Amino acid sequence: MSFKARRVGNATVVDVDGQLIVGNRHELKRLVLKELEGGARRFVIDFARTGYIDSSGLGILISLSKRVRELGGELRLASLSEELQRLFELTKLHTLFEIRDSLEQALSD
Amino acid sequence: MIFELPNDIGAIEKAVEHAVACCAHARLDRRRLLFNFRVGLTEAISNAMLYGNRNEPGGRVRVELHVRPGEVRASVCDQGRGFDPDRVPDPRLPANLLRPDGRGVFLMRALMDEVHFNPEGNAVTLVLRGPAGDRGAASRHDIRLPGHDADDDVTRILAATIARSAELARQAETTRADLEAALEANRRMREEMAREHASREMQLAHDLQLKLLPPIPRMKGVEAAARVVPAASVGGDFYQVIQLSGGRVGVMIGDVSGHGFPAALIMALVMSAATIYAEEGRAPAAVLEYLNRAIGDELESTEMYLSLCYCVLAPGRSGIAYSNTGHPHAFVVQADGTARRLFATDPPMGIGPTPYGQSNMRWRPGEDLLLLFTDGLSDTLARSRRSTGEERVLDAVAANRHRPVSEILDTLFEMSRDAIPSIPADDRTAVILRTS
Repeated sequence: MSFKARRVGNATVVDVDGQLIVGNRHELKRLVLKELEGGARRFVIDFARTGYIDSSGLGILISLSKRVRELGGELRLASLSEELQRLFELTKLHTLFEIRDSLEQALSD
Repeated sequence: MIFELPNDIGAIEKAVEHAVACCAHARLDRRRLLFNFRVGLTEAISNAMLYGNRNEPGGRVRVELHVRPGEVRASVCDQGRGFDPDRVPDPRLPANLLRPDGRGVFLMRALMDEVHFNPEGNAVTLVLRGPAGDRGAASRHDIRLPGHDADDDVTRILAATIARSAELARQAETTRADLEAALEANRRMREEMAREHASREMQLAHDLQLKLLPPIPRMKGVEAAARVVPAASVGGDFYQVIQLSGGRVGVMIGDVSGHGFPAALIMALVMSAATIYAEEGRAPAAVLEYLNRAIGDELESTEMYLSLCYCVLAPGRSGIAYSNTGHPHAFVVQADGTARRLFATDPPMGIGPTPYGQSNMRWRPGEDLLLLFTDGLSDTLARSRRSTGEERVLDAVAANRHRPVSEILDTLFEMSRDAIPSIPADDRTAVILRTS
């Protein structure tokens, strides 16, 4: 499992390969905060290669999204599997995040 | 199958994979096994490590797995003192969406077919089942018979077993009402026990909070008063007034973001560390830096954060040096009654990056009042449409600014006691100080 950031246009895409859970959530936090410090403001977290997310993972996404917004940026989520989409709906967090079906859509507007 | 894990969150993913691999023959819906069960078990184990065992490296978590066709049962047990799952806030409510707590227990319940907590609250059992049709068909494979070599014997024993179980089922049906009544009584008793347990825990957290708050030392040229009124759920408020070398005084107020025992624990850590670093006479930013080093990991692992304002001033001297990690209510109330805010120098500890900033504010000895308080106090007063709770606190302090600080404090707490709180109560804390 790993997190990688790449630049696409003026956006920073973070790929979540594997799980986003209690044991590795701080790696994602560190990565996004580092990019923020480097000036990045538009983030897309791409879950195309993600297995599952737990409540700690959701917690990190909330705090990162808040931090990015405070600095005038935006953090979007893309390519959620059916199960992950359901996870966000169950917890009502889909109301808190900008969620797009695909990476292309997340980058397009 | 039973396995024990060290208290290491890095071990959870492997443990979950191991458990899933053991469930292969349960013939469950594969997607539910790979998603619902993995998430549910991850929650149960991380809950046990972070909250049950309080993230202590020496702790152990025991996972017990019972797999049979059509059903998987996983029990996760920690060494902690347990918690009351019914007191966890509903994470779906708009007011709770940003909170880190409550989502784990909610997800377990939402994703599994059954979730049971033991009465002590330190073990949870998760049950995931396959489709009902599958389960009926599968249960026959569960019968273990001796003498597999004699087919006739097997058939005979099987027939007898089925007949016997049909009879048992009829008996069970007649006693079902009795059983349900007994179960209901048992459930009520467990709930009662869990409530008692939770209230004992809360009492302990209360005692801890109040015991840790030291009396205000008598200091030459300093008049100070402080008070904490803990809420039912202990919000993790604290203050400290510390005599420093050279007649200087350090004043600190803090609010831990969480509630209950974990918040009280963070508070205890901060208070013991703060005294040490402050008494060394370091500048506010340096004291906060040391504090962050002492408790940063604990804050990160519990996803709590800390708003804290630390001021250093001295009788006869005309300046306050302070650092403020996101504490909203810190003021100098001047002789004419106007208030000047000690703005945050940094985001809350646990969120923001270090090193911390430090600022200075003008201070007129003998005239100005230092006023620090927490949300709990102002929130209870935020009733009127014309003014916020903060404004009401400032107005009351301004109106009473020439009185002894202990009387000003009394006025504030009388006001907040009479107010009808519009939101769930939080700890209420205030510190007021003047120098000659």
